[in-house]
Amino acid sequence: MPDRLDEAVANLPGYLGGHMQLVLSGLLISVLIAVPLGIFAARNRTLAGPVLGVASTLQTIPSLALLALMVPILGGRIGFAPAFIALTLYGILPILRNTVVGLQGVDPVVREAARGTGMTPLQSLQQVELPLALPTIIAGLRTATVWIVGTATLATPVGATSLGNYIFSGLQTRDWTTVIFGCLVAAGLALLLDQAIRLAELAARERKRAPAFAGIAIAAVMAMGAALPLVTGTSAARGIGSGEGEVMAGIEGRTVVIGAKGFTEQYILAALLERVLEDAGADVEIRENLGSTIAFDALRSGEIDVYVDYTGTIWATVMEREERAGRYDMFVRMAGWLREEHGILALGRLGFENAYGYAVRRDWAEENGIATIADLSGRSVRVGGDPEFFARAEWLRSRDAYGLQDARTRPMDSTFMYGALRDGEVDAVSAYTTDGRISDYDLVVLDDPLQILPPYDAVMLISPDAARNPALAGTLSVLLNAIPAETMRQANAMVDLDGATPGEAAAWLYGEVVAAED
Amino acid sequence: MTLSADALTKRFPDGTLAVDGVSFTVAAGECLAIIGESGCGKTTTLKMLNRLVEPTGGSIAFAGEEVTTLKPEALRRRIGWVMQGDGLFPHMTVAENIAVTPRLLNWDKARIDARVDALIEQVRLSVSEHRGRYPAQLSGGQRQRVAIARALSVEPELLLLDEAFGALDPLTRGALQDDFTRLRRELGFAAVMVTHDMAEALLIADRILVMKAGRVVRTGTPEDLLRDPGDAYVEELLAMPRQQARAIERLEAGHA
Ligand SMILES: Nc1ncnc2c1ncn2[C@@H]1O[C@H](COP(=O)(O)OP(=O)(O)O)[C@@H](O)[C@H]1O
Ligand SMILES: [Mg+2]
Repeated sequence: MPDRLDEAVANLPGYLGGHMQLVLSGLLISVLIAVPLGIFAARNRTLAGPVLGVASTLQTIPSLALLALMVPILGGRIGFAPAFIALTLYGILPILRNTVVGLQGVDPVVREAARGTGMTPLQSLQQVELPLALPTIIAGLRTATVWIVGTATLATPVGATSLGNYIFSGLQTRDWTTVIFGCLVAAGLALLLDQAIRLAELAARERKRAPAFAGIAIAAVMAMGAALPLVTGTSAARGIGSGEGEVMAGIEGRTVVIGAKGFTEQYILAALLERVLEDAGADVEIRENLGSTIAFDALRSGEIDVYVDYTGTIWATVMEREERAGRYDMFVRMAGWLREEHGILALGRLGFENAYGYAVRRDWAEENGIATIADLSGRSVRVGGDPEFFARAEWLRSRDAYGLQDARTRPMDSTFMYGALRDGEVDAVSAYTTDGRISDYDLVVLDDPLQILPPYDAVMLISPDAARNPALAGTLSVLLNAIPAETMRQANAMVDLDGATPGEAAAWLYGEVVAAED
Repeated sequence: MTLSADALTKRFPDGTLAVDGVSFTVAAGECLAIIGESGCGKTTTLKMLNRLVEPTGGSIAFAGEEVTTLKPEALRRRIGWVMQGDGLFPHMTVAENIAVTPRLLNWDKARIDARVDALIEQVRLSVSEHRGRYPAQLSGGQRQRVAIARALSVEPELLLLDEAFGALDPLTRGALQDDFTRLRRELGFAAVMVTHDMAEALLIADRILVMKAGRVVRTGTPEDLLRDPGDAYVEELLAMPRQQARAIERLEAGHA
């Protein structure tokens, strides 16, 4: 517990700083867009409706989806840019709506007085209408602030550092201390910013102290946001290959960006790659908790240099292949396709498979005489799985091939599905075959006689740019075929069951597979 | 001649003919009262004078210039305006309200400050007490005094007043009417004053213009009207102040 907290505190400057940068820049640009647009809309009543309509529609797009959509829209950019744009779009509505409402709420008598005293429309806006609408506009700004602070925690899967890193990592590794820590800091930040704006507004109303008070409050908040990333020295480095076209040799002193998706095995493997690369003298930066397709997009565009993916995932999701292929055949065809189509180097297999498999409780299987997926046919079993699984071809095809039409699906976070199976809340789950909880909870993975579920060999993928530097592939080749499935399962269990950090599990794994060879 | 309106007409886009061929003149320093029942077109007539409403017919000359040749903002900065309801800016102090037009004209700060203080005194408010207050912190009569001070800020030749004393209790109103007459004598501005109160028009104005349904029914000095109403409607308007005056005379005679 205490070391979890220590680690959380140590990460605070980087995470909070990233979060503040997202929030402040998102808010600033929201204001710069929403206030002028609101002024324009308030003056053209026919325009007010459509403008507010578009903004409200943007608001109804679930925030996680809006964030994720920005990645392909920006051509595979991950990190700050997509998160910043999505947050800005999110912040616009409350400010825009309140600007329109505030301006339209100014007493017509007062507006006429402004004209009667000789003000031009612009002077009336600056000297009378905007000051009178300001409390309403500020209320919108405060709403936007609270929304953006909250939504920025969802920026983690698109690769932007934020307080969401605590929440996503903690959730995947069942580390509740870290999850709660992240939530508390985010809530505290929302309250703090909200109060800072309120104080600035009060100060602005007590006009004597206005500039001093408001200035200090805002400046303090800004300084916090700007200073934190400097403290940690993190910068949004791009991949090592991003130096235009030159062929680079060597790895010492270069920064390698490792990507990782958002689950335990990926955190451990990223930490393992980090150790291996640091042994060779590279500086390493890790972008973890990337959404599944976001990681691939980021690799293709060179935002990250290397990450571990699984053959079956690339085969079905990226290559969009319907046909089945054997384990080795699939790897070779995938590697050729990736090199051909995207210039991506599939360095090779780590040695283990992390496939989808249908897991059930051993006692339940014995009671009901179930040994293969086909035995589930026609039963109204409850199947738990991560939401991604039920959208994938694996589910659709195994459902059709094995007659699982009567099954009821229960999408849930993969963290919870093993516990739900153990506790009898579901009868089967779409397990990951390397998960440590399979043996610990006495679960069995059902046979797949028709070989519907494709192989999922873990492979290291290197970006087109980074592939030009042979030293990176050379350094990482020590991991080729080095990790048996059982070893990976043990490493996962250390984190998921014994409360070790991914870093600790990676250290153990390093000892097993790299140091042992020397 | 400070102001001359000729055949002023206003038909609103919805078809309402609010003002129909109204003509009048206002000499330098003169006070013209426009009187008539609610909805007869008084406010519309007044707003055409500083182009808050654009006439659909007729012409207006101010200080010898045709007003349609002037920029509306420039015109309004030269004509004081006290609107129906005080129309003060709620987010500005008394001093800031009064300083609005001088600021628009880029007066320097010392001149504005001196002018504001002088006006606060002229409308019989206290510089020390009222200068920094917001409109919400003033009584109705005080707000109206600030509105008059604001209208006088740039020493205009012409003041337009729309029922400026209408919403006040009788005592406050009487005091304000007296002060207005005194200010006019001291500063010599001309005024067009809209009212629905015949007694007010008789007491304050040099000349009275009676409107009904957008048209002029009678123009004359208070003495002219009292001597010869010349129209049944004017007679009707004069009946009430006359009755009240007689009743008071009788009461006073009875006590003597
Ligand atoms: N903007 C407008 N659009 C249409 N009709 C109007 C408008 N303003 C005033 N009117 C109409 O014009 C007539 C005169 O109004 P107004 O000049 O305000 O009268 P008064 O000030 O004498 O009470 C009324 O019938 C009123 O309803
Ligand atoms: Mg009126």
